[in-house]
Amino acid sequence: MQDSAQSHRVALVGNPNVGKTTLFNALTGSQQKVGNFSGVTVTKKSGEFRTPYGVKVELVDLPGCYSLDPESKDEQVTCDFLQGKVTGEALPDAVICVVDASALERHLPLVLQVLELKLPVIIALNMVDVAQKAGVKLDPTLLAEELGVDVIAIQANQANSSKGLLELKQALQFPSSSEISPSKTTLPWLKEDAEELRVARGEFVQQLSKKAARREDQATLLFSDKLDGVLLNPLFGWPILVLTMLVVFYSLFTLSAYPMDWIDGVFGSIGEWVESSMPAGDLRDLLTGGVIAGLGGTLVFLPQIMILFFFIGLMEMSGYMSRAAYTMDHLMARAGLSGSAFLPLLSAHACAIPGIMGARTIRSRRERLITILIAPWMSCTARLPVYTTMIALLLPGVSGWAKAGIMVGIYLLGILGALIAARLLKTRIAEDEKEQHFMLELPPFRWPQFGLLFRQIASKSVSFLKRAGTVILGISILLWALETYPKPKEGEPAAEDSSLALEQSYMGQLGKAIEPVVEPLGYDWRTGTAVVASFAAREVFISNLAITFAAEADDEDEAQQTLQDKLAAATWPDGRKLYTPMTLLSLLVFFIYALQCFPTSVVVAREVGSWKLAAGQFLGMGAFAYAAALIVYQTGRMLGYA
Amino acid sequence: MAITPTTLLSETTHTLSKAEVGIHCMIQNVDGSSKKQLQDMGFMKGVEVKKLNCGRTIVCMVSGVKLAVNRKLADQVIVHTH
Repeated sequence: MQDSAQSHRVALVGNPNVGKTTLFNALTGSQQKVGNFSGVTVTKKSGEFRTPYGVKVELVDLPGCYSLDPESKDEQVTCDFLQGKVTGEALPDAVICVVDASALERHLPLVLQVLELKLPVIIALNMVDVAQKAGVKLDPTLLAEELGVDVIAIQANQANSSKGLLELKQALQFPSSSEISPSKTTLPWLKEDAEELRVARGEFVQQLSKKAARREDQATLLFSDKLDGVLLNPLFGWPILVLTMLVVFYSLFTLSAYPMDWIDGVFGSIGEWVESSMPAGDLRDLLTGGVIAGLGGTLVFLPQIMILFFFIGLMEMSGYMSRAAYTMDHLMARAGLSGSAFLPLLSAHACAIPGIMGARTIRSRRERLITILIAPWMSCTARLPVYTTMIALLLPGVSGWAKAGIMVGIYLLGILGALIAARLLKTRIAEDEKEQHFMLELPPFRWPQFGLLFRQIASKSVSFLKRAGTVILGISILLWALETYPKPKEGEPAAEDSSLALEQSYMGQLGKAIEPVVEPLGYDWRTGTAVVASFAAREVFISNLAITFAAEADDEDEAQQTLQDKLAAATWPDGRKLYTPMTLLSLLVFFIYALQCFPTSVVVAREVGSWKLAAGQFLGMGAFAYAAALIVYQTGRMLGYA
Repeated sequence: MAITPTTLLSETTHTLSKAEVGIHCMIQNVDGSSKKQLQDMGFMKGVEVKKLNCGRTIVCMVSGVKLAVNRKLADQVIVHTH
């Protein structure tokens, strides 16, 4: 490092689950940027920190990989970045290889490959506490001598572990030299033939590990092993998984109730204040009937979304998620998938987009494509407002457990449909050139890093709020305008009747035009227009209904009713109840199976490289949703339940 | 070395999928279409592996890492036990 004013670039490399992100966060703190590597849809995380000598370092967190012989997009990016082949990215000045001290034999081959690139390397020996508990006797000094690089023992998950981090930062600056030198080792394992090289690396690593990471007690049964004895047992694994899902959804309903009521109250108070403070007119109507009704209708579900992200993050960080994937492997095999698809599909329950991008980890091209095509059928958080509202209307006054059970049933319906679709798609999509099989690492159970978890939840919540403040706000204002204009003239019957005024608005006209199409599903024009609007963003469905029913309010008392009360009281023009149980079930089924998210279609097109396929998915899912909702409603009608 | 009943009984070579649960084995060879994938995950000649359970997906311990491995992959790993 020549000059403290210069910035130096350091790459962070390692296997997945080794603690790279934790180390990255510990080093860079809040000084982070997230973007994409040029030309590829692979996330690039970079951050900055200063060494004790005042040298500024740009740290780039590369995607986790098992080797530099790439078999996925992520691994290709790591490989290219380390060779300076990524457009717009300079060759790193140094590489920090993060290795798991408790499994050195598995992690060192990647380090050897990085050394072969002749880049300056520092090894961060992470999870030394885990190694100690596993009975591994480490000798970092010997490791450093044999490889000719600095080896720093760290515990990245310890918030106050300044010792390891300080030494790591110090290693990035030799006191008496201006730059870190490449490794001093002569790379004794090098061979010309690729296969011989791989074998030679393996042998070198085994010999080195026997000296530098001796395993003393093979019979030690760790806590993880004892827990796996239960979780990986087919008799217990399944019931525990189902129970876990029940607890998650029960918590969704019960824990979120208080904050949701509070948010509802806040927006209600703001609406009342605006109503009383501003003169009557279009601006006041826009604020109360458009902005507040629309935003409030969406933001009230923020607590539920945060709780769902919390539980998903908890399962990932603790190590339980991979056990769940193992348990699901057998079931997914019946659908033509493997346990590898479980993690992306579970992520899709938070949002389809990260789930679809997570499918990159699936080695099989056919399985990856199937997973991407069925991922939108995993009920995402955007559907939660619709499900919650419909369930409350369907089962007013029942316990949280009953509602949780219905919610689990809804999620299972989506999953079942997806697995059946996967089975059918498997017969239509060409096989892989090389057969791929399921293999998954089961990391040791770890106490979750709650600081990191809450930061992730905060980040996702901010994204949700940004979306609410931009896309949903914009659509809400548009919807308000469509429902307000054209305004009835003075003296016309619609001027005294808000329902008639709504029918004559642009939205009403559109709704009346599509009503013949949606009526067989049990929807009137108001519900139909809300469904159509929700194709832009699902959250808009409830916002739209809130705006529509707010616009219909004849007096202040009616305006003060909650949306749920308004929907429960809503009727057809002939006085029949609108939201009957079959209509509600029809709506639920429609929302389970329709792809109502344009951003998802954009990401699908990008990941599969085909707009035709993405469009086919969008239209196919829409058609299926319509047919399913039609069958549910009409069957219920025939049986006398409508 | 002359083959005797004792010799036959003292060394057993088979695939990882057929290995006994709970016994430490040594990887003798990795051969098949998924050789690279297996080697990247630590299945190398001379490495010790311990099978932890049976089933469609086998759980085993190799190089200090617990892995769930499909049976068809386990068929490509040849191990021997003493």
